[in-house]
Amino acid sequence: MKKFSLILFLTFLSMGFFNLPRAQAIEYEMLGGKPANPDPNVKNSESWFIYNLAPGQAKEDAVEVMNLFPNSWEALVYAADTTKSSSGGFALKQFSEEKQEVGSWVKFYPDAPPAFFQKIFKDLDSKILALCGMSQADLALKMNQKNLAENDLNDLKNWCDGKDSVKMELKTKERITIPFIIRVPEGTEVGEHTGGVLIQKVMPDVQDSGNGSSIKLTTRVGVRIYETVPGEVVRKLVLADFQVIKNFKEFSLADLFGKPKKAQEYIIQTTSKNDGNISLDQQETIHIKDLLFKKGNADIPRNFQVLKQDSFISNYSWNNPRFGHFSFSTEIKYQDSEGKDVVLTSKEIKLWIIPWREITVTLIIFAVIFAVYLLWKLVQKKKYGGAGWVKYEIAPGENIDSLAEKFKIDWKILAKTNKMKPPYILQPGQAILAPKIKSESNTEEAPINSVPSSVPVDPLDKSLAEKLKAAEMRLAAEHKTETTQKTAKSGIKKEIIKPVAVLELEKTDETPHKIKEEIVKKEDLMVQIPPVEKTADKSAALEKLFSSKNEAAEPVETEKELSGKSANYKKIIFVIIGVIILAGIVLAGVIFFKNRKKNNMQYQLDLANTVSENQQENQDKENLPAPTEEKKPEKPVVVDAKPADINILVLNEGALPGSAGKIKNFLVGKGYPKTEAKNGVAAEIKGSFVFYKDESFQKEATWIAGMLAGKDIKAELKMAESEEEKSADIVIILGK
Amino acid sequence: MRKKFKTKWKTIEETIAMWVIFGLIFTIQVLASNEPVFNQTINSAAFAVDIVDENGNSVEHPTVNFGAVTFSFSEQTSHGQLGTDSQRIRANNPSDIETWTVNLSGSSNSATWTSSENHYHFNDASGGGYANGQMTVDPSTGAISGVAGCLTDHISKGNSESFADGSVDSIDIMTASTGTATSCQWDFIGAADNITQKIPAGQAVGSYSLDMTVSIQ
Repeated sequence: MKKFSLILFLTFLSMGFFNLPRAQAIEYEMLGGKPANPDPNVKNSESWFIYNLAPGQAKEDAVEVMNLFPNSWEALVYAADTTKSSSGGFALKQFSEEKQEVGSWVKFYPDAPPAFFQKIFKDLDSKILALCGMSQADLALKMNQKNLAENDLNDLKNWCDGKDSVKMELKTKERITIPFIIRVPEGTEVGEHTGGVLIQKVMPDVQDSGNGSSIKLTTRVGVRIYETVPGEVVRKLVLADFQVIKNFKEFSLADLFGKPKKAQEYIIQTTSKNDGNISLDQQETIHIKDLLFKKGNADIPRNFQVLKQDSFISNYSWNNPRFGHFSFSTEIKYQDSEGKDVVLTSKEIKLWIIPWREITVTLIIFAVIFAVYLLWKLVQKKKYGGAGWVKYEIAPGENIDSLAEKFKIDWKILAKTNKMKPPYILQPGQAILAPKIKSESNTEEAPINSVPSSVPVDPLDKSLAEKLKAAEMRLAAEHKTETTQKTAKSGIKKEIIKPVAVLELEKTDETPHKIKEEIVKKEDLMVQIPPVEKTADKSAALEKLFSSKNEAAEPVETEKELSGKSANYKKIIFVIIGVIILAGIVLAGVIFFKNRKKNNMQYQLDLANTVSENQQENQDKENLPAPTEEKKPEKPVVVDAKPADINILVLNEGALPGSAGKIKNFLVGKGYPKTEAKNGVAAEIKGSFVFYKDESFQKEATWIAGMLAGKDIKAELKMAESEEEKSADIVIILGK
Repeated sequence: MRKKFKTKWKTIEETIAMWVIFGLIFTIQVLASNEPVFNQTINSAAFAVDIVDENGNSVEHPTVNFGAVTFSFSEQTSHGQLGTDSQRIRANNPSDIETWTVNLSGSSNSATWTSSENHYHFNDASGGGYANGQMTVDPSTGAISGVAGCLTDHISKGNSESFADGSVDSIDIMTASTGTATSCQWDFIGAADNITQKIPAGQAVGSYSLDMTVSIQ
């Protein structure tokens, strides 16, 4: 029984969990609207108002306004014309802006008709057009009255005029249907006309906080209106531009400073222009080819709507790999006025993607490692190189530990400097290098049983000097000088003394050892002494070495030290040069990328418009209101000339000398090879102009004028009239 | 022993009973309630755009704050961020339509930055002059993310553009094309400094404000 209960409980529990997702699937708060009377036979009519009214025709419809917020909101409902949007997206004008097209064709009827006419209105199935379309006589007849009062008729007339906007308070979850009439004026142009009904949140006024400037945002929802006036429909699309733009900075440090990291992406940007009189659906396919690894190939379909007489820019964010060689191209397909498929193809853009950031970071890491290695070598050299050390003869009973203790250094340093190997056995009489001992006065002294070698003995240390002097006096006859070298530049004689003399120091309690005077350099040590004759008395030389305080105050360096220091300096210089070169590379890289960013990698393309002659069956015109009549245009569709075929003449008529030539070179570089430059007929005209011979060159002329504007030349675009202006397909006149 | 087992079983029973009560309450609430805890199921709704916080709650008074600048006799710029973590732009599409656009525009073309009696423009492209002021918006540096796993395929970010009275009155932030998921929500979060306002030289000191509209259609 208990088990049964448990199963029962668990079943109930499961039911609870299974119901959870369904409840959370669709939920959001909003203030918006939609068509109240969608026509199931018209695609997308559940979200947009789609009409095909002839000029002079009117249609009654309604918008359903809803507030799904948990609190009440005041809403402003109005109609507006479309406006120019940055990328060609569908945009609607603001409430306060003047209405000239669809926005002015819509009138709202939020209130019931005047009470006097409500019965007729009800009899007419609440049809506004029917009521407002009745003549005065018909109204009187319906009302069973001979004449209607002037006031009643005025009230009705005012009501029938409708309202431009409706402001209303919507309670939570409230839905209100507002009827409206759209009336297409007589004389309206054939083709598509767009606008929308907007539902805007009315934001309560808020007192300025006074803490700086700010934008106050409000939101609104637009229900699009597509009204296509039947007649001759022109469908023409132009592929105006295709670019691949690097949309990030290679060396951005934003994320290091807490700023949001920007997506590392390339933007593949296509600009298309609708020269027709209705909106067109363009079916774009971006082709990406991986030229290096053949793995990243992709065909990306993207379909957009391009409004009539408008340009549309589509940006595709391509999350690129960090390395590779890719080519990009795009195809745009649309249906022309005859129902044929037209394919516009861009040229191919090839692009190397180099991981500059990673390369730079790796180089910097290598440079740092190298610098650390050099520093370590320098430290090692200083630590184990034995610089300033003197030769020391091992006394009986001494070992490496006792020596380390004696010289107050790590035994490892002692061992490494002397290149000793385990087990570090030292024999009495064995000569090793050892540091000078520091006296209590913190001045260095030579080891007790040593003489100065590579570093001069501190001349201020009188005791040592005295000891040496005394020792000198007792120099044995075996004192031999093996080699004498002269240095030409300094005139200082360098005397290399191989196991030379034994100096007998005065015996003291603390220093009962014999010392050998040896000067260390590599195997042989060298000391610089004032020039003396080969036969000169060594004592004199030593005396000279130590007698003069001033002389001795200047350090006397061994060749080893000199060469060692020189090597160190060289290394430091090399490191500095290396760091400068690396910094230069990094700086050059940064400048390079900045410039690339600045130029936006604007690959100017020659766009080849390829018209596919293969007729295909008409496809569903998705997202578009179907035009009622699509007649063949009377005029042939203008085929734009290709840049490579266009003859361009640049005439200098008042601009700085050489200007025409510069513009010619610029245009040739931009893909207009048939460009010539010369001086014009007029000596000096005011302003600059771009003349095009006929419509087929208009697009390119517009494009060229735009490029000239980028070079601070404001050229006016005109169709050619005079002979000079018609002397080429496009004539550019550079005036004063 | 038996008593101990009985006590243990009783504890289990109590625990299960508690869970079941929770489950039942939960189920009943879900099935029967229209309260905002679970929100109601919307059979036919419409496009909507709103400014919401990280939790998806509507922000009552959405604003874009600009960095303060010091009075200057030279033209200068101030920066702000449209679409932050706490004030993200959320587009809702409960319909089957795949094509929609979210854009930003001034409350009117003649709208100005206003502080008491001082004004300057947000859409003056004439360049130079003491009344000049122009705003540039760069949605391309931002990010679009789908709410609850909605795919962002076929949604395009707008380009960097400057408002210019009569020629660029509206700047596209997001544009959805055919193939975009339906019955979904998407958030736009901009990058830092994605709005730049050129402030005229010699502009009087004050806390300026400008009314703008985010639209979906």
